[in-house]
Amino acid sequence: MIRLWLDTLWRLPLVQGSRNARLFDGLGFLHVMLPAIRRAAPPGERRAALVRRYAGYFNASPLMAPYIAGALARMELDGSARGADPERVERVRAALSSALTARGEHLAEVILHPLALTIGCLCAMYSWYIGPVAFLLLHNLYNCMVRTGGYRTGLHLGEQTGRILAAGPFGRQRMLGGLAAFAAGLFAAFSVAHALRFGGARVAGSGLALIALSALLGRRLSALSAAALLLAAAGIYLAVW
Amino acid sequence: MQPLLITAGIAAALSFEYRTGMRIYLSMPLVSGALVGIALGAPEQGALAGLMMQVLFLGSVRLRGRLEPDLPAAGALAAAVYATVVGAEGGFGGFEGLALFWSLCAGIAVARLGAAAYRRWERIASGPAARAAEAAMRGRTGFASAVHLGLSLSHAAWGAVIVLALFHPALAAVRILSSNLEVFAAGSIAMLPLLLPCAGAGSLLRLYADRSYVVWFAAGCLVAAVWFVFGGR
Repeated sequence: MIRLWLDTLWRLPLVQGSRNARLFDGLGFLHVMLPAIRRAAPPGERRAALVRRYAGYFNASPLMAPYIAGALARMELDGSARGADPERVERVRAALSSALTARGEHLAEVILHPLALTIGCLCAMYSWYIGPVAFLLLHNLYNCMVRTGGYRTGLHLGEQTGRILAAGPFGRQRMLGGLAAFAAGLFAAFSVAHALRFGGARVAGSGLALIALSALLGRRLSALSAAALLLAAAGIYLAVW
Repeated sequence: MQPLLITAGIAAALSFEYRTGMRIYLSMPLVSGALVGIALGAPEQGALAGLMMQVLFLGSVRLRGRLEPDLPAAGALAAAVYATVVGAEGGFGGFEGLALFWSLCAGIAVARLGAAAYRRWERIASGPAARAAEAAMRGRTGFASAVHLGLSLSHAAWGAVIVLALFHPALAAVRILSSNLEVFAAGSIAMLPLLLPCAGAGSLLRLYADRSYVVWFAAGCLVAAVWFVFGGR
C-alpha cells in the first residue's frame, strides 16, 4: 500500500496540468489513477475496462482530488477479485467530485486562502520578508496535509471518505470563516491606520472611500476589471491631488 | 539580458506551479514579487510591487469556470520591471510612485492577456487530450501520461514566453511614462502604496459581506482600533 501511495503521490500535484475544455481534468485524473488500476487488474480486458472508466470527463478541486482518487482506488482494489460494480464506482465518483469540490473549493478558496493571504499581506506591510514567509507557512500547512494525507485517508476509508470530511474540516468551516473575516477586519483597520500615520487624514479618508468603492465594484465587475479600475482611480486621484 | 532571463525562468516555474494545481502558491504576487526582487538584487522593491499587485487581487476567489487573472506572470513582470527601474538602477529621481503605478498597469495588462490566452489554450488542448484518452483506452497508457505531462509543461513555456516578449517593452514604457508625463509627477502618486491596501480591504469586505461573517469583520476592525488607541503601531 505504501508503494501505491508513493507511486501516486508525485502524480497528484499535477492533476490539473492537462486541463482542457472537453475532458477538464480527465486526463490528469487518469494519470493519477494508473498505479491503482495496474494493481487492481492485470493487463487484459479488465484493465482496459478500468482505463475506459477513468479516461473520460473529470472535474474536481485539486485539493479534493486526493480524497476522491484514494476512495476510488480502495473500491477498485477491493473489487479486484470479482471486479467492482461499475455503476456504483461511477455513482461514488460523481457524488464525491461534485459534493467535495463544491465544499472543498469554498473552504480552500473563500476561507483558508484569503485568510493566509490577509495575514501575509498584513505582515508584509511591516516587514517585506515576513509577509511571504507567513503566507507560505499558513497556506501550506493545510495544503501539504491534504496532499499527503488525503489519498491515504481515501484509500483507508473508501466510500466513507465524504462523511469523515463532513465531520472534520468541513464541520469547522463556520469557525474558520469567522477567523478569516476577523483577519480581514484587522487588515482593513491596519490599512487605514497605515495611511493615516504615513499620509495624514486626507490619505486615510481617501482610503476609506477606496474601501467603499472596492466593495461596490467587486459586486458588479470581474476581479481583473475591478483591479484595473481601482488602480486607475487611485493613480488619477493622487496625480491630480 | 540577465534580468530578462532570470525573470523568465522564475515566471516559467511559477506558471507551472499555478496551472498544474500544485497550489503551493509561490506564484502569488506577494511571494513571487519578493522572489524576483531577491533574484534581481532589489528585494524590497520587488516585494513592494508584489504586495501591491497582491492587494489588488486580495478578495478575488479562484473558482472553476471563471476567467482567472494570470497572476504568476503578472506578479513576476510587475516586480521585475519595478525592481529594475527603481532598485537595481540605483533610484529613479523621486519618481518611484509613478514607476510603481505603471509597473502595476503593465502587470494587470499581462494578467488580462494571460487570462484570455489560457481560456483559448483550454480549447486547443482538448484535441490532444481527447486523443491521449482514446490511446489509453487502447492500452497505450504511457502515451496518455506523456501527453498529460507535456501539456503540463506547456504552462511553464507560457510563463517564460510572456516575460521574454513583454519585459523589455514594459520596461521601456514604464521608464518613458514615469519620467515624461509631468502632469502625473506633479501630484502625490508616491502615496500609492498607502492607498492600494485599502482597495484590498474593500474586496475582502465584499467577500465577507455575508451576515454570518460581517460581525467578525467588524470585530477585527474594533480590535485593531483598540490596539491603536492604546498606542499600538
